[in-house]
Amino acid sequence: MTVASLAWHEAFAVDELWEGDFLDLEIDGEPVLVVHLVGGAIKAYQGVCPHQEVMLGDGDWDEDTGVLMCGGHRWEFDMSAGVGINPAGCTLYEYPTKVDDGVVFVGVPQDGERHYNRCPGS
Amino acid sequence: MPALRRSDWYDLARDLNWNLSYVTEDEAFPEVMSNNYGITPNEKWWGWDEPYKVSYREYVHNQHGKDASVYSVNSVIARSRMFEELDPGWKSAIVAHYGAIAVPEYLAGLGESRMGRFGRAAAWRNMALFGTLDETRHGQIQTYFPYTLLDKEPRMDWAHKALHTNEWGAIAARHLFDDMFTANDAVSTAIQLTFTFETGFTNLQFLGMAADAMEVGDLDFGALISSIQTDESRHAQQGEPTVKILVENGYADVAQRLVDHMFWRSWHVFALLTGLSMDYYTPLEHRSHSFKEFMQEWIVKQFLDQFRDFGLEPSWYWESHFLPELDWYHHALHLGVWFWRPTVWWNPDAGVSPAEREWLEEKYPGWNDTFGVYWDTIGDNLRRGEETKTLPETFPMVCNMCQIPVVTPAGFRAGKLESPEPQIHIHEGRQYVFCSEPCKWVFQLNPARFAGHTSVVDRFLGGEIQPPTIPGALEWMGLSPEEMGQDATNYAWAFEGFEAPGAAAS
Repeated sequence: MTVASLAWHEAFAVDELWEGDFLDLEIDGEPVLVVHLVGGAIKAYQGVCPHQEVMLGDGDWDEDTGVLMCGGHRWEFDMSAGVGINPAGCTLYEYPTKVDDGVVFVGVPQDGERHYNRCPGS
Repeated sequence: MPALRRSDWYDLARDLNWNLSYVTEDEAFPEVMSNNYGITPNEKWWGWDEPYKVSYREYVHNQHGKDASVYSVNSVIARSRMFEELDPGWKSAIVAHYGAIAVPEYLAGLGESRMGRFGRAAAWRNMALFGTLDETRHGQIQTYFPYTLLDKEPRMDWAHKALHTNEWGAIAARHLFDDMFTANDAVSTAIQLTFTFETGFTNLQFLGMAADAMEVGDLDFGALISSIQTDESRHAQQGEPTVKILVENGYADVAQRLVDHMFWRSWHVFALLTGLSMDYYTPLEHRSHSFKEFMQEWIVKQFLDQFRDFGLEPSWYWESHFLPELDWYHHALHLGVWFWRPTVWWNPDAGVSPAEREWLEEKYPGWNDTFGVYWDTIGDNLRRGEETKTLPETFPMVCNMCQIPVVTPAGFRAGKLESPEPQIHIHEGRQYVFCSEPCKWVFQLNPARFAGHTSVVDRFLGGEIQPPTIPGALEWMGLSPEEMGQDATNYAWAFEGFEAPGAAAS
């Protein structure tokens, strides 16, 4: 994946999303969950659970541990890396992000694909 | 909590599988309790792996917190006037829900405990133990909450009573749930209860229903359903690994048949309970979507994704029967349930005031011409003071599979069926009536399982209900006059935009 293949979309101003909070967005027609982790890192992931595509933004979020639990079936993800904790081995698709002049941008690959991982429950 | 991460010890502690030497596999896992569908030896099941994992210690910790939380909410709200102030249609929805669901939750505990003993892998039995405890909790909590509302709504006792009566809706629920889990083997239960019904229907429904309850201001029910959903979302995950084992061993056709069978049956009861609740009983201002939209966006999409994930196909009746029914079946049921309202334990909310009809027409284009016309006549009769013309004098035919009244004439009238006739089937000299081709198909899959059952109408015509009259049948169903359903708003909907009742009658 090269930078040239990305379309950068302006998402929000950094000071609109406090550390420890997240935003549920639709970017380029795709559901995207943007997390502002405690410590300052900003991450963007697929907005639906890879299990059965329930909206992750409706789940339970623990800002201190950075763990998000999907409301659909209790699947847990470490949002600092987008990796599954329970079950392990299921990873969220991560979009590139950048901050430019106080504005957060999310990069969407222009490859005609839908950007998400799916992990059937077994 | 333990110092080790769960993943460091979980599999070792969980996988207590061993080969049998003192008894045969068939003796330990009789087919009637655990149908392996030809997948032997038992080691082939030992790869069963639940996606979401929890230890017993974590389970107890979590459940204690959930119970403490939800019973606290109930205790506080019991001292308020919250229930009295709820919309009458919403009250009907939850009275119906409790009656149809509370005791079956307890029965689901039997199905779970059967999997807890006869599941063919230790991991599965472990999950099913939690499921057993979950369902016991759900049975208890959903009889306790309505119990605390008895002084405000005496029919809340139907939470416990309904499944012990011969009320027709209770028979339909009992027939379905007996087939699905009370009298099902462990393997089939995992596919039919946890994969098809819970993963497919109720877990998603409970997510939406909890949000709807909060929206209408029913914090008590919202907290209850939300708490239940957090359990359901976990134990429902017994289904996917079981499907995977069947598919990996070349038995995708078995999984497909079990899903197709139970999807259809679940759909019909779901349309009866949830369809009416979403499109007619929930206050208009709080409806976030129509029942059809909910089905399309959640249930249909999820099933199609799951069929794809596991290499299964949409059911044979998907395009021909299921999708078309989304447009008319629950509207027809609603009309019937409202007309036969003395036969149910809740107050059906007609939900057809001018504003509600506008919404129905928007969500179901053509509704006014197909179903609205019946309500026009009913409204005319009520405005003329002729309530008796809006009440039943006899009974409809009842389907010998789903045990729900046959509403094919309304489907035909709506232009969705080629004939108003029900499906007739002769088996060993007895005539069976089915509301649809898939209901007949389910019967034909295993006639011995269903042939002995008699519907309410079979019993009525067979002389088991005496006297053979509407009052005799209502008494047989366990409905006293005080318990029989009435219009939820005392016909207010029929007079909106018309002169007052007194003026109309004079």
